[in-house]
Amino acid sequence: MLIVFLRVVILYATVLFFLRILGKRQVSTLQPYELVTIILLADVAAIPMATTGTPLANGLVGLFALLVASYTVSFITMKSTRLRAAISGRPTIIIANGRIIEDAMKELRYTINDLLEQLRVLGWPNVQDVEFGVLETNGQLSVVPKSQKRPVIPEDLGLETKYEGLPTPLVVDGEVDVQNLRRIGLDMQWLRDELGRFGVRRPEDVLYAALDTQGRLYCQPKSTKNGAPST
Amino acid sequence: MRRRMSELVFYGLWVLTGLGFAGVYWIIGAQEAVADELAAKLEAAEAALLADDWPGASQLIADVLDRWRRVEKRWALHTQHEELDAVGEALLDAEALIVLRDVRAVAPLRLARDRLLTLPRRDRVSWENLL
Repeated sequence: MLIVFLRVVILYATVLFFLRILGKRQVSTLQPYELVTIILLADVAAIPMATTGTPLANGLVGLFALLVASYTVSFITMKSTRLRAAISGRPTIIIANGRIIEDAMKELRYTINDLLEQLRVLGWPNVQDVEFGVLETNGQLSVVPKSQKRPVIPEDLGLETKYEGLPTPLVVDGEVDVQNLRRIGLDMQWLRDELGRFGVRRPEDVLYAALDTQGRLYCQPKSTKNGAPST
Repeated sequence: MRRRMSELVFYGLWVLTGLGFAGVYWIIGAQEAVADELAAKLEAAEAALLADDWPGASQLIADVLDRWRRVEKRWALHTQHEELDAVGEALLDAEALIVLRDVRAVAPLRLARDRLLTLPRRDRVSWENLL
């Protein structure tokens, strides 16, 4: 029992470590070769997990082989566009100028129902509103709406907009991000003074605080045990 | 810097793979040497018991069992435990039959020798093993 527990922990840590090396794409939108890696990772890890008669090294070598294979394929696809197309495929236009391209749909074995479903999910229930619909290599549909149908943006109205960058988190779950504080040229004293305005004495009592590019501080204190804010 | 890191990881993984291959070849070589040594002793034990030299056969099988118990622990790191158990069982059978001075000890002796010699061969990179 203890051996199974320890093996699971070792293999879990190994798979997690390998997924971190493989990168963020692996856990969001998957390319075909990434999907293969994910499917096989689980299987390769599962065999030595419960079979104590199988050396753990066999499982670890299998996981390592998958890591090497997957990393190599992603490395090759980065370097060569031809191999990228061969391994991941190419995006296919399935709607052009508001018309469904039947040949492309047949080639992809993509049904009208699949297409309509994806269009509805993306918020474009009418095919005629779509200028281009592209089925990407990861299986997701991208839509370029007709110019008359797309949402109005400030530029269309000739409106000037202010710069909106990313807010800088300063306190997360009671912990001050000193690096962020320094990066924007502020110090702990400033933070304490600002938190004081929200009625918070210590940064430890803050759930989340961030400074936006307009200089406005957002602060949400932690709740007390009865659900009320701690201030 | 990040692009450089990606290349370093890529080359690092292949260097590790190369080292791993070399390591496996070294392990197989060491395993074969031990298996050959034990197989020779088992052959000698068989010859001894067929020549009615029971004390000699008993001494040889005891030597083999003693050596086997030491190497088995190391081999368990990379070999299926069931395969190791099968060798151990055959050796114990042979030992018991030799103590009883039973010539049927030849069968487990040959079985143990065959199983011992097969173990390292299973990890060799060959078409037979791949397919």
